[in-house]
Amino acid sequence: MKCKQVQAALAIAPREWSEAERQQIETHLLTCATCAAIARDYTRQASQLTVLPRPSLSLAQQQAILSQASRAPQRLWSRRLVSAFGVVAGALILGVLVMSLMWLFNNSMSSSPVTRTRVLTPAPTLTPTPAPPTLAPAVPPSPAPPPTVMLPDGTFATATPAPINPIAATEFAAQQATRVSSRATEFARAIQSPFPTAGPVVIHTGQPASASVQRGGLTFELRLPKDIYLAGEGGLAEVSVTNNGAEALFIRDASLALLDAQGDEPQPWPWEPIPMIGGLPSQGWGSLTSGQTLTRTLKFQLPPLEQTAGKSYYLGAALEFNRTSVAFPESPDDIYLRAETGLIPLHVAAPTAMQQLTASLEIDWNGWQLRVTDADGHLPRGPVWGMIEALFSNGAMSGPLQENNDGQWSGQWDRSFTAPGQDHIFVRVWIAAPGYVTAAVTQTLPSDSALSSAEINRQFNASEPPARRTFTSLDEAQTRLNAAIYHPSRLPDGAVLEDIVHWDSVSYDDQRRLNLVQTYRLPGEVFLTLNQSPAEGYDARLWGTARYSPDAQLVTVDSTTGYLIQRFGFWLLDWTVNDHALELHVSMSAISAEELLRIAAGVQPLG
Amino acid sequence: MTLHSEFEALLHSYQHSIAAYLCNLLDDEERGQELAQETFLRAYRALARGLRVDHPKAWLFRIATNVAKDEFRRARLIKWLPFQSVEHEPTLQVPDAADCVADQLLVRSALAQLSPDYRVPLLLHLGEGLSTNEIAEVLNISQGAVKMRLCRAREQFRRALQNGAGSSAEDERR
Repeated sequence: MKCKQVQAALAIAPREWSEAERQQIETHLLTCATCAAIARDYTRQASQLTVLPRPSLSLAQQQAILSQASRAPQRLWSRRLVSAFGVVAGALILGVLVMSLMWLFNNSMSSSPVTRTRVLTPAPTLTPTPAPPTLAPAVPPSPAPPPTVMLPDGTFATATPAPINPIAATEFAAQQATRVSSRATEFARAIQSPFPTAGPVVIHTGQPASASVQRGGLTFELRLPKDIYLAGEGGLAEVSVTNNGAEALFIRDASLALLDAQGDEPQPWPWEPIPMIGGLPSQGWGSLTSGQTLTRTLKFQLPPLEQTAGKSYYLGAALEFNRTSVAFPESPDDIYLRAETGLIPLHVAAPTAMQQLTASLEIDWNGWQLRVTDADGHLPRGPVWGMIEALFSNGAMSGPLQENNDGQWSGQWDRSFTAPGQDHIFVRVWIAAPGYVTAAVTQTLPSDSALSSAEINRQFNASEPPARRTFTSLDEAQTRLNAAIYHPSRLPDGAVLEDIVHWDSVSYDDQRRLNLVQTYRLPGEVFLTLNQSPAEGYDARLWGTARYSPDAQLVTVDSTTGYLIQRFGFWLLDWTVNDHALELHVSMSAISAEELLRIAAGVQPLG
Repeated sequence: MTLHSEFEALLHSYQHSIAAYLCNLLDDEERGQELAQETFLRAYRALARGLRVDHPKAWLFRIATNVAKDEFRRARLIKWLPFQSVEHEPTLQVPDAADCVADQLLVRSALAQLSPDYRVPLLLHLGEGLSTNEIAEVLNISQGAVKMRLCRAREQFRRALQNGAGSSAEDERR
């Protein structure tokens, strides 16, 4: 055998070699150092690949697949349905029985009146801004607070453990009995003491500002150096999580939420980050032992002046964490608990011309150079951060700009992207600093391509955003979409239909989907939205945020089961009617849970 | 065996391999799991249409590979290379194992430098243990073509690992 043949054979796992090949290869390797080195490297490759993560689908994901499969058109598999039904129905009945018993047990242990509309997570409370702004006294450390309930009248009372969400529970009920037992234990434990619900949030405005919340022994805090920002300014927020409880926890992720008064996130500005396969490296959190605190700095971006006019903005932080697995105490379970800090109101000021950062970007086929200055041509004060993204015809590069002292950055393109045959480079950069409006700049090669910034940004979009269609009336929407449209018939007096938007989307199996959003303006400049989607996605977790939350409260909506959660002071209620998944979203300060359920019960098909 | 129980058995037997394969092929755990779900739903629909499958393992990997190719096309992105190294901290999967994280980053970075044409057979052969014959069935190409791709893939992977290790060593010296 010659080297080339041996190297080709070495690329194949030895289990596929014939005995004759094996002997020839081994003989060759004894006398050829080059091939022997390659053989060693190839042998190592197999073990090197073993360091890669090997995630499984969770039981919930597997059950979602099975549920979705069960909803396939019956005519396609009706012959097999009857026999399959026995297996599935048996499992479901078993699951429902188990969960019903647990449900009854939980409710029978209740010492306080329990209604199906109770809310276990109290509404955010806002403390007045101190004058002059000073850091409010720290909340005195206290043992894990008892579970609290906000009763419909707004008062608080001690709560019994939250009832188990039977839909989430039945997800695993169809699994093997042993798995059911283990998972049911984890599920019940996760939502019961000492982690029943989050306690009241505490918010301090001013400079600095903070918001914090406790859930069980966990304290989650968001800190801002100030609460007054320029339109278009980038901000740095510190989040910390402290485990004052006895058991270790696993912190999955913490994220910031910048919301307007309607609970909507502003459009990403200067642009939506490029959708990288694999994404940027995440800020790993990991385990949090008793007494330990983890702190991270997260970034956010205020919209520019043209978008902020007349709007209010609020910043909050959300935490996802897990308890330890029952079966594997060194690993997290797969039930994601959540804590929210509540929202810090931000004051947004108009910037002056002197508060605009200026970025100059030069690119060629080898690399790039960036320089950032303030309006006077000086280095901006304070930390500077940003992101550079480059798109080539055969790939993309992306990465953060590391902090430095001279306001200048430079780098090289990866050679594989600029090899002969590659005909263009699109580059865009944004850079932010405290007290300045974020600067954004784009460049292209060849430089005479004369594309505007908007056109360059479109190049970075992996796919066209879903088409948006608006309608002037529900009747028009129903006619044009040729679908049954549901609408809320029991809105408060004075409610006005603000707009009707349809987002055109196509599922993976090329089925066109209905995604209709109706927005109503209620008295007091409050907006209520009703979202309507196919119920098929509801089963596949494309829909039903509340339904799959371990904190979801079960409510009755016109004799069907609904799921109610709150997110940063807004109700999120979802339920299904026939083949439609419906979701209501409205501020908790404007609508009580009872009112929301009355509105939901009045949602009906257009006549 | 009913369709549903047949499918459930397939799901339980192969979900781990398919999920791991897609997660590493895309270098994205969350998206890989989503596409693994899509893979099994496509499989179910095919079974429901009455498709007979003699070799379910290769068949499922073929669906998974096609789903991933769609994803590559959709994202238009063949590679991701960070401009600068970003400080990593232990993740949930590998708590307190900085060395393992560094190795993982090196391997992920090396894999990312392979085009899908080479990354797919490499992961199927070395990661999931498929034979060249099975890979030929997955990719619908000849066994000879699989061997040729594997040969190039392993050489490119070897160089990428060496370059990555070299860069790390250089960084340490600085």
